[in-house]
Amino acid sequence: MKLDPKIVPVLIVALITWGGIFLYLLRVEMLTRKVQKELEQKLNDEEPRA
Amino acid sequence: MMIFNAVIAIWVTAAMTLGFFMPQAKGLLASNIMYFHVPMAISMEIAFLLAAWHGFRYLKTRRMEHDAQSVSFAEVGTFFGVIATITGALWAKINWGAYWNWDPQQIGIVATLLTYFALFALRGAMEDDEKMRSAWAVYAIFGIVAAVFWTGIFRVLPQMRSLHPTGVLVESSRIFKVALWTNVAGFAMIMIKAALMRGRVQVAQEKLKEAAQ
Repeated sequence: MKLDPKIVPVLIVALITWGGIFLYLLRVEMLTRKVQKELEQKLNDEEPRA
Repeated sequence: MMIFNAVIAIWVTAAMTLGFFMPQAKGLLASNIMYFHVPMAISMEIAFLLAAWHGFRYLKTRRMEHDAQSVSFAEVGTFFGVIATITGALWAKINWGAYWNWDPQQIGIVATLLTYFALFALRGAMEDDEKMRSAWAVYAIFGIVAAVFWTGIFRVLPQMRSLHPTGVLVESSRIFKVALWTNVAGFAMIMIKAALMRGRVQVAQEKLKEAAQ
């Protein structure tokens, strides 16, 4: 199957757009993990006192 | 929340399918790029508007959640703006022969993004949290004023000659307009969802920070 040359720039743009959105969601995911780690750390620190 | 997620997923899939199979807009090459570039640019404006709204709400209520949401919308808006600039440059190369043409709208979006980069830098430079949040609220309101000027007013100044097509929305077929606005709504929903998620993480971070003090 041959790809229509007219569609190539559209595919590149789609890749940039969805790739960008994916990267942003990845950033949110990383931040969520960081917060979760901090929370677990805090709970572990507080456990001996309780 | 699950319903909103499902609506976004179905809507965006339908919008993308529509976008890929739509006929070309009148007088433009690779006009299907508009189904990505235009929604990203409009979503950027909506994000900056919502950032300003939450900034205003913060000044009224002093609730940290509004500050977190304001920053999140500004951040997502900036990210979407960068994508709109890159995809716009690719479209410009195909239609106008160069990635950068000193078009007032190209200058406008880059100036808007630079404004927000500066505002983020100013926020990051402040140490006192209360002062930082109050200042940010004002920055967010200033930001939307700058965005409206750079992307809305600057290009229609009498000295400016924009290469951007003006009659596409009026002259193109109804099906093209439907596909375009379906995509605008889809990407705007993704933007709102991403900003709300980012905002919640920001709130959790702030609360942890407060608890540690």
